[in-house]
Amino acid sequence: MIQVEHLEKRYGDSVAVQDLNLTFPEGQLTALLGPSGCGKTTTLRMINRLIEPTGGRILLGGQDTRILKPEALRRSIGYVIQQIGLFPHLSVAQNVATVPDLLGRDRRATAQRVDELLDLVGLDPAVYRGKRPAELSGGQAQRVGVARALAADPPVLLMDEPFGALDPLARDRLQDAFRDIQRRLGKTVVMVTHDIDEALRLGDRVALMRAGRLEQFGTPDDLIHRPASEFVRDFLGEDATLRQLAGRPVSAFVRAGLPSPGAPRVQADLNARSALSVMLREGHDTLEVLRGEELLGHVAWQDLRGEGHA
Amino acid sequence: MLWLAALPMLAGAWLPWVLLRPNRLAPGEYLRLPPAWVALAAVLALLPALTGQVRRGLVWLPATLALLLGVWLLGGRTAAALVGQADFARASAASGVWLYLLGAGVATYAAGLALPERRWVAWLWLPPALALLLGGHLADWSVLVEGRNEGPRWVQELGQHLRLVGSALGLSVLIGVPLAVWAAGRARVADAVLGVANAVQTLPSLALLGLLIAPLSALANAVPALREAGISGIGVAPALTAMTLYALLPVLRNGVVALRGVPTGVIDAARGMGMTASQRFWRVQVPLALPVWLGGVRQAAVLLVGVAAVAALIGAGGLGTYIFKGLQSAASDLILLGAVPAALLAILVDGALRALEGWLGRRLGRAA
Ligand SMILES: Nc1ncnc2c1ncn2[C@@H]1O[C@H](COP(=O)(O)OP(=O)(O)O)[C@@H](O)[C@H]1O
Ligand SMILES: [Mg+2]
Repeated sequence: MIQVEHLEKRYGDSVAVQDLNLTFPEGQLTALLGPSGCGKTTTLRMINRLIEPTGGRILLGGQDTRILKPEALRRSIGYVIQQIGLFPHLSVAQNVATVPDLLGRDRRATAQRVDELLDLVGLDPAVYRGKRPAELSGGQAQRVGVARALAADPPVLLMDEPFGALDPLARDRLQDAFRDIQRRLGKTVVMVTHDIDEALRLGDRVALMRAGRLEQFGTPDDLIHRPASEFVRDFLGEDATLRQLAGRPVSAFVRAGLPSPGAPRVQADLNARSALSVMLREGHDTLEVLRGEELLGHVAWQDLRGEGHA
Repeated sequence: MLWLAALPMLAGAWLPWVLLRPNRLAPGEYLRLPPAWVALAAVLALLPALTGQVRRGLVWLPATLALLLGVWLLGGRTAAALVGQADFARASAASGVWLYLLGAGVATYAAGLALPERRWVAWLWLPPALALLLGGHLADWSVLVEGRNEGPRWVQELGQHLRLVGSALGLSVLIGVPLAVWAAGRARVADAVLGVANAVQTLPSLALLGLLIAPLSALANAVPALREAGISGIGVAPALTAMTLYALLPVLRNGVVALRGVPTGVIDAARGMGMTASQRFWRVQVPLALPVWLGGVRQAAVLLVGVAAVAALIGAGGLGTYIFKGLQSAASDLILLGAVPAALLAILVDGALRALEGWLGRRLGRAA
């Protein structure tokens, strides 16, 4: 759990972040969302003290982050950035082993850990551990970046637009892979993004910032269905519901039972937005959902409206 | 390029090969190659270009052979010319030799370019050429006759040359490295350093040497204590000062460029993972900057070999001594006695440091 209290950062007369109060819940992914220049990166970098706040404090697991030396603090927090920043002169394995090496962990145990992590991020250790960063595609490099951040098993992971520089296909794949990893490991993740789809898709919580202040903090459903202000509604846009559906498989909305006769069939891994599109196209308000040949149940268009309908 | 190299070689085979003089200063007569040798030399002149039409990868073979033939004929023809002559007689290389070697050199260089993976084939001529030199085959060439007469003194001047280059290089690295590290961390200072370094670099070394001598002698005249400590406008101290300052520029400039060239994302990641400033420096910045930085040291070393030759002008010794002595007495053999080893030294230093750079670049994961 990360608690931020009255956090402030000034640069001379200009204020990058002001009076920010926020709790990033344990084991959840919080997306720090907002337009460019609203102070997301500044907030993130104050958590691991790459930037020192000019006011307020940050508690990590109840402890003020200022009691630790900055380097010691940073070694206990994973860090992933858009530029990836792999060390070009080191192999993939050496890159991943960076923090365990800084902590003086046993070399052999680290080597084994590196292989596990490469597996976790979907890279075959036998193929990739000896490669140089220059030999990797952007997506592969950021997979290594994620593995490197997880190497010392930190409870907290800070990510600054981690998938922002990837092409759309690689970004989709990596977002899926990362969602699985996060589901398995349950880290406390703070992910800066200006991409609304990404925030709605990956965030358990979304913190929407505007000009250095917190505009709204809540679940994606909260922001979509109960926007705290005109700004929130405008920022998410009229198609926010569709964006959210796009990030989920239709199987997430399935309920058991038989659909109305003649309902079109879709596969369970189809995304919910496409499922809605099928309903519109076929003129049916229910769909049969299958996994392979097996019938999972059905989904009705009311189900896709999320909790907003009530 | 290969046909272009064939032209001077053909001309060289036909032009006078040896200049025979009754003594080292008297006018003499020009001797051509015997027809059979002219024919062989001409064939080897054309062979690299002809080979290039068929197999570019094999050009190195005829090019190397041509170069070696040139060296070998230089030794053979000078020895033949001196048969029956008095001791004072000198047989020196005439225009033919120089043109032929120039063309063959260009051809071997081009052969190396054609094989990017195996550049070293352009240097295959070196061991046999050295063997010819050390084996005494070139002993009758006038330059080596002068060299033998100079003997230990020549070795001394070579040593002095190397000492000058080595000390200036060492000093400039010693000063330049910390200075570059300091400057690279400060954007304004770094810009200023780069500006000054680029401006001064355009000055010819001779001019810089001259510019430094004036203030140094003025200083020595004004402060007698300094003069007693050996500092004056003439001698080793001003030469070394000028050379160090001159070499400092590439070391400093490349250092700043190399350190600032380390991607900011890499530095940020290193910081974010909890590396201390010194860990960042040694584990990230130094290895990433080293190949480019070493390029600066190489430039400095090559420049210094040349500048050190000029240093003889202000009495610092070195191979330049022979160049200026030779210029004064119009004895071209003496000039060559200084100039040829200086040129070879520069090539050698350049090649060795280039190889080190390439190796480091590959080890450190750059595309070298
Ligand atoms: N070192 C700095 N000096 C002055 N202003 C800065 C500095 N870093 C960031 N800012 C300003 O702070 C504001 C927030 O920046 P940032 O946190 O990077 O925004 P973003 O939400 O795009 O990540 C911006 O207006 C930016 O111009
Ligand atoms: Mg940002």
